[in-house]
Amino acid sequence: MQGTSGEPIDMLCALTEHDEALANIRLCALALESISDGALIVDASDPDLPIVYSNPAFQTLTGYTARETVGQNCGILRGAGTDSGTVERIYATLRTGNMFDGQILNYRKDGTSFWNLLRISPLRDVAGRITHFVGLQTDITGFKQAQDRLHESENRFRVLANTAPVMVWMSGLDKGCNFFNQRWLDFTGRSMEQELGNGWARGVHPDDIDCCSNTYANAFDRRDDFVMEYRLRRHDGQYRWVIDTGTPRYAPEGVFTGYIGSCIDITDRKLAEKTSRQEKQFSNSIINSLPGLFFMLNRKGCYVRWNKNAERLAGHSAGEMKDRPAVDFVVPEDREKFRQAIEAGFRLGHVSAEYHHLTKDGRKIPYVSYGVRANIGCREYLVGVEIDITERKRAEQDSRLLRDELTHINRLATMGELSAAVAHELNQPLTSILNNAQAAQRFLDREQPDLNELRAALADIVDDDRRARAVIQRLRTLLSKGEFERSQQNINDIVREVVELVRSDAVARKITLSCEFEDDLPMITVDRIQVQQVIVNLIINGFDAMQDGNGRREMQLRTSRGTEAVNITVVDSGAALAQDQMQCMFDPFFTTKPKGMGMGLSISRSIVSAHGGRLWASRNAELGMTLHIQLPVTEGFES
Amino acid sequence: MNSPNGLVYIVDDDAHVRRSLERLLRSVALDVETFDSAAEFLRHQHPDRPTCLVLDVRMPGLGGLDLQRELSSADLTIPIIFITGHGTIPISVNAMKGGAVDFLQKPFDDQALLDAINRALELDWNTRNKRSEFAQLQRHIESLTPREQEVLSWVVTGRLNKEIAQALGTSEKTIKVHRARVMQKMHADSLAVLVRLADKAGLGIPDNFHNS
Repeated sequence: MQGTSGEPIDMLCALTEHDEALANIRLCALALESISDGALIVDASDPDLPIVYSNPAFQTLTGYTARETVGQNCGILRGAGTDSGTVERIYATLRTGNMFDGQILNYRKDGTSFWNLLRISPLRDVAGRITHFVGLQTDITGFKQAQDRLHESENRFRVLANTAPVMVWMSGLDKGCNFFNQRWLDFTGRSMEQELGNGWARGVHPDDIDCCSNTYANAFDRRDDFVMEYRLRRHDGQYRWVIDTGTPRYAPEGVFTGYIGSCIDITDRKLAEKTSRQEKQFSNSIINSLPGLFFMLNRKGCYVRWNKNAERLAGHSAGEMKDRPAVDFVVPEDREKFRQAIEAGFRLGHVSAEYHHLTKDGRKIPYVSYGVRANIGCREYLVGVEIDITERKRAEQDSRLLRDELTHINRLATMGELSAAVAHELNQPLTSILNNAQAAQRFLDREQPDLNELRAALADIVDDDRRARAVIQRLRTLLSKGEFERSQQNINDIVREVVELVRSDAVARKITLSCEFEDDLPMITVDRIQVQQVIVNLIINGFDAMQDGNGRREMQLRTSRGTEAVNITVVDSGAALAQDQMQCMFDPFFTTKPKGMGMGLSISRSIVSAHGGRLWASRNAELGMTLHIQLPVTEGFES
Repeated sequence: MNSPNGLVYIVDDDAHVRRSLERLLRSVALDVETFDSAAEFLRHQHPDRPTCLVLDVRMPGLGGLDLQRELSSADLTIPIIFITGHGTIPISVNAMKGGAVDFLQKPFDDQALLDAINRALELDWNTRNKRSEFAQLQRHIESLTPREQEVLSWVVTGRLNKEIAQALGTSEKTIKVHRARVMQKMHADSLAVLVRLADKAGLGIPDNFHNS
């Protein structure tokens, strides 16, 4: 039976019945010739099962020509990769007279292989004996490869899903779950069969199941992503918090195929979050219980954290405080100082500063702050507290006023002691003036007044008036209740002026007063009057100490240069104090004088301290004591 | 009595006061010498003329009262007028006890000072006169021989020549010669004058007189 194309149609026109049967046969043959599947017919009567027919599709498929196939056994299609078991199965099936339907790896003439979907059917004669087998071959290599790839991809997915650090589930179009990875199964301790469908829901905490189911169903219907937290029972019976993230999945063609999701056990994280939340509450309650302001500033000097007091002071809500530069709440005149303090805090690791805060209603409040640098995470912050020092400032002010008052009283008392000497100082020029004036009158009364004498007398009068005014001026300054006022001073000038003041008292007490001034001493920044008061106090004390003794009466005043300081020493030759008295000689109300207040040395020391200096006493080797004043040359006193 | 020869010393450590005092005294034609310390004044050679001292109480080193003591112990009796800026009663009492003429509180009226100076100079003039009379008398007494001094001491007690001769174991005639020479050497023209001179000179009556 060899098909030729083209002719049969014309011949069918005038067919007899026989012809009709013949025509049918020819049609069948033509069909065989035309189909896209390869077709083979083998002779079943021959034990070698030789091929008696192959159609063009077979030839195209295998590369064999019709001639090459006829008489050959189907074995020509077998090769190294052909499964011998399948071959056996084919023969076994055919022997039983059944149809075979299966896949086998076959080889073309050129040796290349292809997957063959093989269907073999026996052909029987009228008596039912098998005369032939007809086999249809379809090349399914492409399909087979696609299937393999799919299998591989599924396998890969399974491996991935099972090795992923999360629990994975998948659901189908019916919302029921059709896959759980090993990790899920290990977690719940249940089998895949138990979990499939809605089986997994049995593990959800009864309190969470409704919310969980609703969230899933709602998202599912809208094909939305969802994230939810619920408690899931672990294999040990303990409910664990999981976070479940689900997303719809689509086939490559964009067909919705269900959901895939993953779960993570967040119980530990939740616990940590809770602990951290508690920590934060704890730290918040601490910083809010602080009596002052709490601040945590970032590198830009902006608020990161603060306490309620800070909000109250600034008059701002928490939202307004966030990321606001702290300097915004400082009075304008202190802002530069404040910025420098922040900078120093970050640079040095710690800082303390005083400045005024500005409240929303415009009040200025003095604060002192103590801050330290803190490294939190990888960032640097300045963390610290600020304390309202209004009270301290007021107390300081009060004590300063009190000290000024005492200082003034002491000055008055000291000047009282010097009053005789001062009266003498005033009397001298007054005496001269009177003498000169009266002498002048007498010269005028002469018949020929001596004008030169008169001129000289008047000049002396003017001179003495100046002298008297200088004494009064000195007195007035010393007795005045001036403000504490520092200025650049030469210590030698200060001491010289004091010497002018006490010289006459020294004379009256028969005390020899000598001075030794070092030249070119550096200037000091002091309150001239107060320093003079201290020196007068020390001198008068020295005078008093020499009052009763019968020894030498000598006092020496010296100035000298010290280390970044100038020294003033007052050396007397009087009766020295005993060692135990020396320890308390600077205490208030300590006195050795019958009428003394005992304030002089105490006030003197506080004045010197206010200048950043030191005042102390030592006993001389031979006689008397030495009082030492040391005043710093550099600035840096309390104001 | 205002002596034209009066010289006033001023001792004061205050140059202004010193100069003004000097001018005041010059205005009344007094001679003045000034000193700025007691020590300087002590080194000074004092001329033989009526002087007085205007002295400041309060001075460095030797004070006014110290100088008064020094002068007194050196037997230099210059009348002193103290001036002080701030005199206390104890100081003024001490000064007056030490023989001060006056104690003036600065500033003082010129007349008060000038009056005091006049008083002081008069006092010094008198003192100087008395002292020179006494010195002359002393010189006369010293010119007597020991025997003549012996005779003088008997004569001024009113003894007769005979009694004196007996007491001294010599003749009445010899006593008479001695007596005439005593009268001559003592520049006494009568017994009354001689007695007064002897009294001024402080001559005592011999110890053995009453026993003899």
